[in-house]
Amino acid sequence: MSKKTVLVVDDSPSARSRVTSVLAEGGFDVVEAVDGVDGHSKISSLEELSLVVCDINMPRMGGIAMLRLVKANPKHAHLPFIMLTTEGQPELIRTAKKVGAKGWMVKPFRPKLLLAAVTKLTSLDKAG
Amino acid sequence: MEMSFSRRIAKETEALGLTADETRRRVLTVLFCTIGSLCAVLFGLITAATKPITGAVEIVLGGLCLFLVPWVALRFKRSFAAHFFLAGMSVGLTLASLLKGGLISSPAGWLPLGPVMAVLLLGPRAAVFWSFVFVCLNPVLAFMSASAWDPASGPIAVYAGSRTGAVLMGYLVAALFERARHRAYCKLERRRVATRLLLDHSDQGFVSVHTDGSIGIEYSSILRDWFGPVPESNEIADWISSADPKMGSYVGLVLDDISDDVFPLEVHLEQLRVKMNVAGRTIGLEAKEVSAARFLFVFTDMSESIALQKVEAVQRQTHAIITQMTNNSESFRMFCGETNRLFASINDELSDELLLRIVHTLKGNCLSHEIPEVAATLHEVEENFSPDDRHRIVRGVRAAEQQWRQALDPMLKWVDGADRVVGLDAEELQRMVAQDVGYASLCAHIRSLNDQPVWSYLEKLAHQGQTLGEQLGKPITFALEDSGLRLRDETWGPLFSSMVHLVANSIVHGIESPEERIEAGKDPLGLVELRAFADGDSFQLVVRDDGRGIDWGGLRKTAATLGLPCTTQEELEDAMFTHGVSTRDDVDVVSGRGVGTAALRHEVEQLGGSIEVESDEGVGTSFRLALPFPATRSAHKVRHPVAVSHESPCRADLSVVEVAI
Repeated sequence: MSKKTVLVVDDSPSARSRVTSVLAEGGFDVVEAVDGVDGHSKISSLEELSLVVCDINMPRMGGIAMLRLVKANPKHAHLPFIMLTTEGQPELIRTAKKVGAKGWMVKPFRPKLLLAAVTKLTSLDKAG
Repeated sequence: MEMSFSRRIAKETEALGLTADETRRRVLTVLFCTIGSLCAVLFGLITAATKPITGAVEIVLGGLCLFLVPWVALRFKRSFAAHFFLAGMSVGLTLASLLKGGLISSPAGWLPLGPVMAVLLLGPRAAVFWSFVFVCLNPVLAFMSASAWDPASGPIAVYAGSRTGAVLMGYLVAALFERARHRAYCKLERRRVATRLLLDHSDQGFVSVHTDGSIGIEYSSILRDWFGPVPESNEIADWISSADPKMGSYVGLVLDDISDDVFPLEVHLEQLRVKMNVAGRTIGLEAKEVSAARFLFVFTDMSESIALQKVEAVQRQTHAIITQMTNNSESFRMFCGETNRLFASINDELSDELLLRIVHTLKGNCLSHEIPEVAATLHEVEENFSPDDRHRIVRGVRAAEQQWRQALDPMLKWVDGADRVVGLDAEELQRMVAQDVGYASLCAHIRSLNDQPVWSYLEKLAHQGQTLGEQLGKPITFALEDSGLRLRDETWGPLFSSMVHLVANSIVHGIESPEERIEAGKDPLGLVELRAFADGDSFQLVVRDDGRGIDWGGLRKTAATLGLPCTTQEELEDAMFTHGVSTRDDVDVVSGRGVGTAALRHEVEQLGGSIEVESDEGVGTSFRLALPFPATRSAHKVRHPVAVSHESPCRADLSVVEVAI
């Protein structure tokens, strides 16, 4: 069975590499993007994408703007998103969920739990 | 209808703070009354077909009872409603029995139910009266209907007796049942009270929460102190919101996700591990799954432990700073200078990239110098970096800067106590005055400003050496290091004056001509290092050159000529600093008579110090002067972080004053 591909969008290289290493160890193929613009173009260009892990605060285009853009395109609307945020931002989370984010995680996260969340969402995606 | 009604009563009684026993009796009162009244109305309807007036009376009485008793039970005392019902029942049954044929009629057959209901509604003791009434009703009915008695059915007294027995039996069975139930109830109640006691006297707050977010019945009373009364909605998120709206909203979000089954449960439970701010206290939440549909939320007041952790962290940090100041003072001073500079350079005009880079550098520096608190704040700033909220970032950095200042402040206090080290920078003095830091540290700083920076002595020496080198055709590079020290000129000035001889010696005797140096494979530029630093309680001065080294043979010859002992290395070194001893045959303006070295030794001895010589032939010579700081407060060492460079040393903002005792 081929590996599932996850796109990680975060402007902080350290945060990005943390997510990437966790997911790569968990057996996912990881593609990185540095902001919403980059993330959106990668979503458009990548064929087999199972999930997007996306930071909310980013320069150029933030996570929620990108999510809105992706959800507006029927071709990618099914793509599940996990938003990365800090716990002090329930309003942002609510907005993200309204826009169509599947789930959210608070940074810093425990690697095991991020992996559990991503695994669950990607397997749901397969079932659906 | 009864169910919703009883639920309403249960809710109201709970709101009134009534016991479960009272609640149950209220419900039973209404239930019995409703059934009884309905029966009366039904009976009335049937009767009305043959006897319209009797039927109408029954319907009216039954209907009245149907509406009155629940109303009375809800509005007034419940026992009053019970008595009302029992009175109605006894009168109703008596009348019905009389109408239907007395003792043998079907309504009379219901009489044993009277004591049962009385016991259930009032308890065994209070039910004695009504049980007695129902017992008496049998003989009364027997008496009243004796004329219509069919003797074929046997003696009426026996019949009445057996009926009375049945009523008594009803009372006994109900009373026994009630007693057993009451005992079980008391046992439960005792346990409940004990549990309540535990719940209410724990520093932690417990509450069970259903998966839909609603609050369970039992919870620790401390939660009411923290979050106020349970909200109308009975939702845990709303309850938390009344104290911390943000966290309440957050908890609500997580609970929504749990019911939507977004992530594995362990992920969501981890998401619920949060801290909230409740009237200045920090309350930590931990959620545990206790059954398929229920969680236990455990709230813990972490304020004290957090405060304690902070104190410990500050102590650890202070300890780390002191250790670094003593063990690795140079690098720590450079770090302090750089940190101050970086903090000062942050403003709103910086580009995102630059701002982030500065924050990152600051964080890294703080981490490597064991200032974790400041590093953590900067880390948070970095993690939450958002270009749209520059204000927040700068605010975060300012918070870190304040922590940084606070981290150095304990040093100030420490100095006040032990009078040893003070952290100051150029603007620090103004701040010290403004903040009234204390007379002792202010004096230490001001006193130190009167002292001569060691740098100026070294610079003078280097200048003199450079001139000499030029005269001799020996280009020389000087490497200076002053460790930011300041010394009292009256005490230390003469020493530095005689140091010129040592430097001259190095240039004249040590450093070779450029040609010789090239031949020896050295850099044509000679190198002389002048280093001053504090090592524990002593002041160290090192003069090192990379010249040819001391001609011990020549020295021995000269010493022997003068009749000085010169067999051991120590004796030779001693001879070197003796008046008139020089390795030079020729004497010129600057060097050669051995007077200078003797003068230096004199100065060093005056100050109670010693000189060490190390010389490697062809590699260079090093003189190390070790001088104790005077045992008074007259010698101050003001340190400027200095980046040692052969060209131009740069000074950073921060200086550290050390006051030697």
